[in-house]
Amino acid sequence: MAQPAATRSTRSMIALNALILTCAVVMLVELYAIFLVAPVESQMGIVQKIFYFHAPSAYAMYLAFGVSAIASAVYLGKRDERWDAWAVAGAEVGSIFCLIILVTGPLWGRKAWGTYWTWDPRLTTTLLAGLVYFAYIVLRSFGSVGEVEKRFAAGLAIFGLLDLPVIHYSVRRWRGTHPTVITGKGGGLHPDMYPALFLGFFLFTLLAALLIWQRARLERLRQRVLALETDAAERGFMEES
Amino acid sequence: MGFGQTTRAYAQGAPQTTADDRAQRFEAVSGAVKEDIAGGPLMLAAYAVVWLALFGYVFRLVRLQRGLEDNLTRVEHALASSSKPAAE
Repeated sequence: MAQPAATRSTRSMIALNALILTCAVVMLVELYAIFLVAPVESQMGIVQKIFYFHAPSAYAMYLAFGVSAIASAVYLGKRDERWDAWAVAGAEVGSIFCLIILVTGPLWGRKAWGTYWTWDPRLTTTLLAGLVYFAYIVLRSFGSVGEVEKRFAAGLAIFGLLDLPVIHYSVRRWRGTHPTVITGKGGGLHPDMYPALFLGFFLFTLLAALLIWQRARLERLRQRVLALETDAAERGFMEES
Repeated sequence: MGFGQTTRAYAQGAPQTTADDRAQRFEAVSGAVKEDIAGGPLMLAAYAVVWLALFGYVFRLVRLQRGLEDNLTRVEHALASSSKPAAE
């Protein structure tokens, strides 16, 4: 049974506020776990605490780019604007997390490797994913995006998805210098480091969900306002603007 | 800083380990923390980037929403002004 729009909107606002509140609380608990529970790492020292935001950011990036690629594929099949909104949201939010990875990683690398950047397979493939989705955002940010641009951007998002498993498995396949502490091959973490890491994954999952949802909602609204403007202009109501 | 210097830095601060060990295991420090490359500023910079990126994006969403509200108001005014003569 279809719900009235006002009821849906109220429920949506309650869910949004609950999600924001949960994010804020988990963020505080996460900071407590990072700085007061997790010990300082013996080799790298305090800079290792970047790891608790860096690794979850990578996970959030996979999630957001995955949403973008899947929504793009569905958009190409159905040509439904709602899926295009999710694709845009996933690409933008994923790029934010990719930016966090590409900045925090080199800051950690300065201490661990003695250099900010190295052409390690995982670093290089992450940069490639960032560039693909940056191209998507640039393409979509042109003034009037038509159907052709939307379809081309959808193709880019799907192409970007192909890079994600390469990023994940690059460390195992080509054995670079990137740490592998949370894979089956790694030696693992000190037991007191796990709470901060798991909370980080939970927090960044919530953040990704919140940001993607809000961006998709705004994109959907933008599409509807644009349709109204176009309709009003065609009827000759927008002549003065 | 070259690779040799990095190796020395590790050797001074903690027991020497292989590159594979450092890449596959994180362990807790025992005793006083002694670092040759200051990790504090690097960590602070990283956390600042995380906060700036997230809040910057939220700010972008707020601006986008305001822009949509302005556009909607413009359409409403256009529709209202065009319907006035018909009502009169």
